[in-house]
Amino acid sequence: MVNDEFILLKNLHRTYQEAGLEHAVLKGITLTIGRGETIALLGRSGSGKSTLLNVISGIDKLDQGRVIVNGVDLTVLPERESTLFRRKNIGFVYQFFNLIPTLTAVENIALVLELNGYSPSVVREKSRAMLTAVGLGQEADRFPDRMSGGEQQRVAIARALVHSPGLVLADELTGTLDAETGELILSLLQQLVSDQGGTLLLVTHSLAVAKTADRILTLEDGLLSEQEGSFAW
Amino acid sequence: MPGRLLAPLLWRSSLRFMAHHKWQSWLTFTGIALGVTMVVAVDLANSSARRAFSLSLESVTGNVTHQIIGGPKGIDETIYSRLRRELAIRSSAPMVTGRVEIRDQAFRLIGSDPFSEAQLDRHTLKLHQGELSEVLLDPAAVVLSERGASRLELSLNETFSVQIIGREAEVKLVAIFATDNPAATDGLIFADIAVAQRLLQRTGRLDRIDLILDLHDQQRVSAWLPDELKLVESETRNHSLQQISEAFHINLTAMSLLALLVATLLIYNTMTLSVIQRRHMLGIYRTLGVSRREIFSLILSESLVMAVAASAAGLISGLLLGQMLVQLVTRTINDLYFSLHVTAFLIDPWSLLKGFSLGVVMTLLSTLLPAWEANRTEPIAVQQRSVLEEQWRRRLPLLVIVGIGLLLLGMSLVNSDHDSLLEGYMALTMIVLGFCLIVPSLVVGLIRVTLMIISPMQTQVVRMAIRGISAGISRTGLAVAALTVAVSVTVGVGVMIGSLRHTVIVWLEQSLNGDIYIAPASPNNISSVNSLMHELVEVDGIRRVTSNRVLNVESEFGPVRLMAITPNGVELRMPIKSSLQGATELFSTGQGVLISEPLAYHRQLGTGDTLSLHTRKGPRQFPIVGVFYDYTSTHGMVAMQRDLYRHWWGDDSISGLTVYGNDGIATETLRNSIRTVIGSRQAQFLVISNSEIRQNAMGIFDRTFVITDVMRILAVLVAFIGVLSALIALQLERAREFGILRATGMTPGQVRVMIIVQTLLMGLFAGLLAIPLGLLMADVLIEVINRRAFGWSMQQILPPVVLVQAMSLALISAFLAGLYPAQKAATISPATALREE
Repeated sequence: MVNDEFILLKNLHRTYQEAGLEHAVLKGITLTIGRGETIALLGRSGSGKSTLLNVISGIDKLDQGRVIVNGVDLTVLPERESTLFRRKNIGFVYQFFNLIPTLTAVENIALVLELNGYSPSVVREKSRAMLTAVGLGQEADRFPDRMSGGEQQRVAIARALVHSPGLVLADELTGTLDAETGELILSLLQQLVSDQGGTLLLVTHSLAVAKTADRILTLEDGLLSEQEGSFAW
Repeated sequence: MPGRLLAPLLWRSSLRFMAHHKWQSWLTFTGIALGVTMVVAVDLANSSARRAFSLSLESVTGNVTHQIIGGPKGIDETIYSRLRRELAIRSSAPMVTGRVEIRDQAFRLIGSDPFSEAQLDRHTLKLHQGELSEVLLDPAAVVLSERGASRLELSLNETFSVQIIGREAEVKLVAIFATDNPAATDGLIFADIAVAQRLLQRTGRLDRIDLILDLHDQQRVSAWLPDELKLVESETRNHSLQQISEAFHINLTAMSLLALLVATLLIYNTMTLSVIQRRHMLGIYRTLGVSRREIFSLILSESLVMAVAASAAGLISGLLLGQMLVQLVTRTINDLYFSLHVTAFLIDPWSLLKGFSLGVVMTLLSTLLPAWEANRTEPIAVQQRSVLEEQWRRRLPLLVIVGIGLLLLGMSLVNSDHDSLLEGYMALTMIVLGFCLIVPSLVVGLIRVTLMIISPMQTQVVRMAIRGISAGISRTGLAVAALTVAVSVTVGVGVMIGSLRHTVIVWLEQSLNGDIYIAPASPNNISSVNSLMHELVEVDGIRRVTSNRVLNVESEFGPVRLMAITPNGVELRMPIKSSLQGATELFSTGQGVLISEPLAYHRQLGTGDTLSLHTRKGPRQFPIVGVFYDYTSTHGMVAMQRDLYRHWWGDDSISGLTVYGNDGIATETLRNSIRTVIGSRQAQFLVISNSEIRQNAMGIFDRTFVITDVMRILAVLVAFIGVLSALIALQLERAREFGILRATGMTPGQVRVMIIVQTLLMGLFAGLLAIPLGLLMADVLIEVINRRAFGWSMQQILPPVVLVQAMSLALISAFLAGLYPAQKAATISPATALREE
């Protein structure tokens, strides 16, 4: 469980320009997440949940504030360093899977290892093992467009975890799946992250999903609150 | 752990993307390959023609260092014997050359002295003892190379006829010689000097004397030579001969580079679309930690692979096309410049290397911008299509400003006074690029106008089709720009050829004011021509007969064409471009000469300047009183009053007579009267009517531009392929969108109509926009490229057929490009599309 300050968010502010008007999405978020924690982030559509994930991973810029992951201040890193940090330390899982359509299942997973400079034999071995771990050992050479939604999401999970990142960000990962498949996928992800000792930050609409987390955070009007209550969405 | 430069899986993904979009990949490949094909083909054809010319020069020049060249009647042959006798110059040979035709093929007759040749040691007449005696003894003996004889299907001792300026003579093939370099002597026919003099009707005259001289002998010969003769270095003279057709080669190269420019823009367009299509995928890469530099390298590497493969293919097809083009190039050179035979197709490694490098470099350059765009791709999580389009729309005013800047810069280069072709190409490139940048904004404007025009009758499908262009302006703007450039090439080149043709027709009408022209077979037969002239003046129906003398003379700039005319009593009807006040009077009284526009342009001469010509009495300066339009010679012509010419050259020879008939007399009646007067002397005179000359001139003109037309068709083909690829890519990218429309109730027919309407509308816009760009391009081609290459000015006209062609090309390309995506979109499974969205 929580054993240090793995993620430190300090007074995050982010405003977008929309049709000439300023729209403040984050209005001073401050949060600490410990290593190995599972956090569920709830909020209405457009409340800024995805923006918060993007700034934590360094792919979106802040107007103000600091994001420190594993002691590294992402807000001061140059573009290239930020990319290399993300490549090594962060795994993503999306609602729409975002697999590379021109790579097979195993190649999608192997790509992350290749990018991280592993030798070809290690890449082969680890990506096969990871695919087996998500139950798709026999589907290695299939292309994403030949797989069901649940299968694609399992490949996406394998890709997010194959390089053992310290932080896994999941954005509505069960949103396009049926309830049963969604549950299986969620527990698979949680199990694998927990096995690796990683930290999981889940963005979700579902209270049921949120309840499986160590902590539940709610984002409303650009502010974060830690609570459990009734949810209308 | 540091990663490799590019992960192999990124590579594999790219290759699969290309394989998956095989239509697009093949079309891009073909676009690059065709561009390289044109550059290589033209370069090889040009270098083969140049090589054939220098080989042919070499074969008759050998190791000759100097030449003595003469006045209007050539050199008196006694000069040669005096040279050998008085100065003891042994390494010398007399030469008489002329153009002949054998079985409808052009040959150059070389008459020389076999004994003198032995001392010069060159290809000419290298004969065995038995053959030598036959050559010397038989008054009709000629010698051909093995290849020449086999081409004419002639065997040893066969008698055949040769055509010399309308006359026919019988000759006998007494020897066939083999040579190490058959291409050098292929278009030549050799004879003893006496035989050649008889055949060419130049008895007692030589064209030149070839010499091998050291510095001491050179000074002796120079001091000894009479004033009317000139000693020149053979290398300098050969170079100036080679320069004569150089403008033609340059113009061909310009056309091939224009095709490559079009290909480059289309490669840029295709690569940009390929990046846009993969924006989502590149966004995933970025999320997974692929750096901007890696994305940039990936796109450039893809393009490099494509460029290398397509350029290699372009080399092969360039070799094949070059072999066809060399025939067209040779024909034009034969028509316009000099007799040339190219049988050996020269595969110049430098041409291949140049074509290959140009293909690769241009492809990489055209990929730089799309690669930079790709490098700026945001990670997938922060991408929004609408934001991208919004960014593009915000950029439009900036693009317009930069575009107008480039256009103005290009036009200022067009109007600059520099005599540089490179500047011309730069101007062309700037104008094309500048216009391309403005196209997307113009398209947005045209869409607004279209919506207003069709507002009362529009259906929902049509409205969606029109708005679709505006909504996806980042992609549609590019496709319309590419099609505009492609079509504008047709307009530009079409207007240039049409304008030149029109100008030449007008010029012929102005210059050819006689009814019948008579050319004597031998200009030296003065008494015969003079007597005919006097006889003709007495004939009923003939108003006036004038004579002229046209020949090559040496000037301070090398050989120029001199035309000596008698304007007595006749208004000088030469189309004048600029002249001093009272120029007609000054010219008629022999106080100055007129020079042709190309000579004035290339040598930067004008009225008030002087031109140095080598006369019988040595070099003399002649004041220039006017500049006249002339399209017969690109290296220059000088018009001089007849008496002035006679005074300085002492030549009474007549090259031609111009007969003016009474008003209303039919040409055929006039011709018959002249034939009756000529009577038994028909073989001595060639009679040709004004309309026949015009017909012949236009025939030569059209033959000259066959090659330009071939190039235009190829350039359009490059463009068509590129545009097809761009439009197909554009519509296929929207396949999902169409699937969703199907799912929401649009019938396959409606989807088809929507896509076809959209592409046709884009074709229409491109056709409309291509007209102003094409006219600007024509302006550059006429005012810069052609002017700087040939020195000609033209009256710019806009042939309606060019506009029809342009619009048809744009609409047909768009229609064809829309068919495949329309079918694909109409048959897409709505379920699949919805699931993917």
